[in-house]
Amino acid sequence: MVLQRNQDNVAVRNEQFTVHYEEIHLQAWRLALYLCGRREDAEDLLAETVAGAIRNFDKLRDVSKFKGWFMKSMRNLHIDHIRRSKRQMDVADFGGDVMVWERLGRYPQLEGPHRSAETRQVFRSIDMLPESLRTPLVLNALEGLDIKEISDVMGIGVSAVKVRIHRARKKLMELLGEDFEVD
Amino acid sequence: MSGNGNFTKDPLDLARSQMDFARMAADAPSSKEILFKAQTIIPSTPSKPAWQKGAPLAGAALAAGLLFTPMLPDDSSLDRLSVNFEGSMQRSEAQQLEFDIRNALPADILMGREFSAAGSESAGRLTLVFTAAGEPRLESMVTRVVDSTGGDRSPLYGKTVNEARVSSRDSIVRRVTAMFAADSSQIDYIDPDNHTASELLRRPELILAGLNGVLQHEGYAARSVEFIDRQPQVADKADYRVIELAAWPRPMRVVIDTVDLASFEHEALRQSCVEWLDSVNLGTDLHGLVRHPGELLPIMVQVKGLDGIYDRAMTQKLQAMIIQPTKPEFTDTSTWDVQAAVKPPLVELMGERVCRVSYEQVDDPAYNRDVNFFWVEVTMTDSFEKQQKLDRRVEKLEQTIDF
Repeated sequence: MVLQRNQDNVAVRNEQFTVHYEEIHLQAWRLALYLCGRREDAEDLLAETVAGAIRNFDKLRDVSKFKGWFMKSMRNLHIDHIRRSKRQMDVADFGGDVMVWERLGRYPQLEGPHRSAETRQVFRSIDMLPESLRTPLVLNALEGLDIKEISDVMGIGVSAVKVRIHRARKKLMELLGEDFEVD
Repeated sequence: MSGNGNFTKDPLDLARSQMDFARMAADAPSSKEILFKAQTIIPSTPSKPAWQKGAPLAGAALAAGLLFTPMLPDDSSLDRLSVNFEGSMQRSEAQQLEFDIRNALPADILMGREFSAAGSESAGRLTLVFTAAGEPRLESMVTRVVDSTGGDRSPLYGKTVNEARVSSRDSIVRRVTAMFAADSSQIDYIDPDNHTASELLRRPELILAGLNGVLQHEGYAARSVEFIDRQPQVADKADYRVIELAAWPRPMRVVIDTVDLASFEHEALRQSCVEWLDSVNLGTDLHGLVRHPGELLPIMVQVKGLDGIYDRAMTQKLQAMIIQPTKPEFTDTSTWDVQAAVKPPLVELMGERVCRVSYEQVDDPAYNRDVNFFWVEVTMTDSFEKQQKLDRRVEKLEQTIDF
């Protein structure tokens, strides 16, 4: 009887988790891609995060914070992997000259070649930012997460997120040169 | 977009506008795929395994148990098995066979050998002695290895003998000491790589233990043993307790732990000590060395790993691969040099690995000045730069030694 009840509880919990997860699946997938740079690694990271999240779903008190909680778990897991393998994930790890964005197939088919070059330069410069600045900038400017959500994902304070985004933009401008302006 | 052909002034806006979210979504694995993959990683039951729940309790129980347990059972036996090869074989063949068998043996089985010359200097019969502490499968494992490696050489297996019961906590040194104390035990089988003599020289306490084992038969014990840098002298009549012995590589001085000794007792004890020294090849009998080449080889090697710690496996392999000089060779340095004997097997064994080699000619034995012995120390290194520098030093050393 107890076993049956436990199994029922597990089934209900898994169902709830699935509902929440499917809402953020694509965004989580993109974050995994940003973090890992390779499709295979991103899949592994995402699956591992999901596995951990299912296990700890009961501990999440406020389900409305599911997205931030999940993203934070993924980032922490990714950092753990990096520490474990003692590697610094940075531009060089994404294959030297081949930028992560290119490998992700991010570049849309553009009409004018000069415009494509312009876009590539932006993505290339974003790649060159350190991870601590790149992640909040990408999440904010490209993924549209607000400051509070980024704060949850990164496990740092709201003001720290603001500072990092500011620094990231400043650094990006330095890398891009004077042809660009940032709001 | 500006009118002069430049694009938006905010690069992040530009980047966002150019990102192909639809394409990324199309490329993304489905949520079901990810959920399925996650299920294969871990079971989703959110409970700790039983052993984790009980771990603190079990740990406390074990600690309490250990606290009230005065001694854990620690006995194990030391078994010995001899294998004689019926056919005569060349010394180099014997070394190769020994090498092959040693490589195939598990690490906890020790192997000693004796090569007794028959007829000519280079041909003879090989005897291998295997020992293991607390290994009930000694006989079966040795039989399997020897049959598969040297089965065509007609091995004759002896009976497995239980030599002693020793504590599993004892080190090999204590086992050796225990064997010395045992009645009429030869130590050739204890040392798998014929390092007995060198081990003894490195550990004077073993010599003391060995001599004590002998002297106890006469009802005495040795108080101290030390090497001396002069010829041994006949005992001072005033003090027969002091016995000075001619030994390899230096004479030694033994003080008997007693109030007084008579002259005849002194002589009897001296004779016992001399016999024991001969039996472990620390004596001065040149023929003893030739008769038991396995005991103290002209070329003794020691391999140290990257961490500077003695690498037993590599040492055993290299020692077995070196073809030792014959008696005329190692007594006549004009026709033989140690580098020529060591370098080929060293290159074969080390392959691409980097190592430095130092050759040390051991002090002339007190009474065997026409014999040349070398300690060869091989140290693995991972630095080419370091190796070059050290090589130069070794070259100097080689020149100084003047082989």
